[in-house]
Amino acid sequence: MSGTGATSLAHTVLAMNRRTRSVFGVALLALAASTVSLHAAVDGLAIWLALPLGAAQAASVFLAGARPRTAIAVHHLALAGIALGTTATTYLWPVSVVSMIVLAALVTVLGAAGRTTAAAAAWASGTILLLGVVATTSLTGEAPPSWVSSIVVAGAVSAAAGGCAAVLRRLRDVRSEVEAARSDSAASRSELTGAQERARIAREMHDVVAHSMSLVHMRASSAQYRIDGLGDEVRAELDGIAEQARTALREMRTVLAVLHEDADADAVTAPQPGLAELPRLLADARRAGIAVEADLAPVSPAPSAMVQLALYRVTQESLSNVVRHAGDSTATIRLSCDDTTIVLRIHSTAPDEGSTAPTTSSSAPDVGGRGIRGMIDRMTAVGGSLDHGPDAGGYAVVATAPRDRTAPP
Amino acid sequence: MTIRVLVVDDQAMFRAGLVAILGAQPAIVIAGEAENGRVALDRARSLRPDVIVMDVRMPELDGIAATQALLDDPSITHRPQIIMLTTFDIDDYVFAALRAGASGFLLKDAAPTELTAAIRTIHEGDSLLSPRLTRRLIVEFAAAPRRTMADSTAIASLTDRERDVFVLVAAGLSNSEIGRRLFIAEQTTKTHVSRVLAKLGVRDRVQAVILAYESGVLVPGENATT
Repeated sequence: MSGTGATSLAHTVLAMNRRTRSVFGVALLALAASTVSLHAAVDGLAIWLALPLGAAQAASVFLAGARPRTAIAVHHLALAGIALGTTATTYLWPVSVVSMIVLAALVTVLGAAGRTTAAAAAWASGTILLLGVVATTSLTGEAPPSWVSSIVVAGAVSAAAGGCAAVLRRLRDVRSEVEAARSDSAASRSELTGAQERARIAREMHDVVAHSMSLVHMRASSAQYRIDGLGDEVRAELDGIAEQARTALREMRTVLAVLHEDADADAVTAPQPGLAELPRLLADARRAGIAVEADLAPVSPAPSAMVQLALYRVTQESLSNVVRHAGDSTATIRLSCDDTTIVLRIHSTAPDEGSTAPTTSSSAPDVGGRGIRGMIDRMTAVGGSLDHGPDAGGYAVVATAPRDRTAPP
Repeated sequence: MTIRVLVVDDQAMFRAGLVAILGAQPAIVIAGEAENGRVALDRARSLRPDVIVMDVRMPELDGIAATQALLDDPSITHRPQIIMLTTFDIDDYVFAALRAGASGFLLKDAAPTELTAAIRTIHEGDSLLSPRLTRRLIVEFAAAPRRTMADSTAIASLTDRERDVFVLVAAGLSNSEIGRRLFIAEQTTKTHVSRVLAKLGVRDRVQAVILAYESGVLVPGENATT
């Protein structure tokens, strides 16, 4: 996590705690007030005992989440003290009702906090404590039989409450784990797709080079058969060039083998496409229901195979986005050039929009998606650029590529 | 005896180079050229070449589709041997070329001597072109073995000697190597081989290898004869 992330997390915790803390504080005071006053008024506990013991009882419930063992200890000690110090006993309960309720609350809070062992321990030890009260009372006098049945009922209720709380807590934990796993998986999936797209681009570019190299090889190795009267030295030189070209191609094949993982079958039986194949793309788009207007100025001398391939792929990607998102649209393709730059502009509009209407997101390509990323990568790889955005009531993709000033006519 | 060759490639310069190299060889005569698969079909019909050297990647009709069409076309009676030119040497589309009926493949950057030798080898039919590579390709891409009724009958119809020869052909051995292995004369081997190919209903050694793996006669990894 970045530095700013850590600071903001700390702030969040403090802020949360401040709010939650005040809520807790109020609740704690309320519970403490109830326990103290009830112990003093109803149970006949001396006030100097009721105050600390009642407060401790209440506090233990609020401590339970953070420090379960301490909470249990504090609670049980307080409960024991209250039991010992209480003079008025009731027929039904071994200790006062409020104490039984607080014990149940403790077990439930521990369950809700996910501390299942502590919850079970609190329940068991609490029950034993209450049975202990019954036992000690029996030694000194008669312990009403209803006390034991009350303990059983109370024990059952608090076990149920604690159990439910624990289950709900577990459910919540599992759900957040699943969420985390899901977002992790989505993140790595998008990374993988990006990598695959880059590999595909690299493969196509290497392919163009390999193709040129095999032509170099053929020219060099066939020269002596096409041109008469070449001396021995020249022939040797040409053979050397051919040998060099073969080495380069061998190395190229190694690179391409690595990148070839997910090659689509028809990509390798058709030659790499260029500007001459654009009309066929446009025809496909028209068949898919898009009205296509094209203004493709001839570029002479023809740009390099790399540039042509990049422009073709940008057109292909843009048109398939239009087909995918807004079936009835109009697309306008314009290819133009000046001395230094070739510009390809693909503009799309949905049919019901006039030029004054705002862009509909339906005709824009997935901006964060691999489509746009791939297009940008391809154009920058040939020394050009790609711009995209809402424009004149629709969406425009503008690709530029530099003209090769050193290209032969 | 000269071998009549048809050269097919979409790049004019590449084609011109091939024509120049092969045309200069004493055993080879250039029957014609074509710039894509469709034109190649036409030329094959009219010129009746012995061997066609054809690029895989072409517009209109690519090399694999053209191979299939050439061998399926009933009007082409003089069945040519096809050598596919490819950029990669191990790939499922190279196997597709073999499956479609090509007798072998060559890398586009093969040296002139390799080109010439390949055409001679294919024409003579005594051995596989690049046996180790071809076998590796077939092992990797051949369909999972399942023996059809037709295959079983055909294989069962081979005599013991013919079956021995079949296994060795499928292992990629040349006729002379088979002869040495089985202690028989090369001419005898040649006769056995043609009978085996005829009985199995396959047109050449490559198809015999494919059949051997796809019918389970040979199992990948078991064979260490090469």
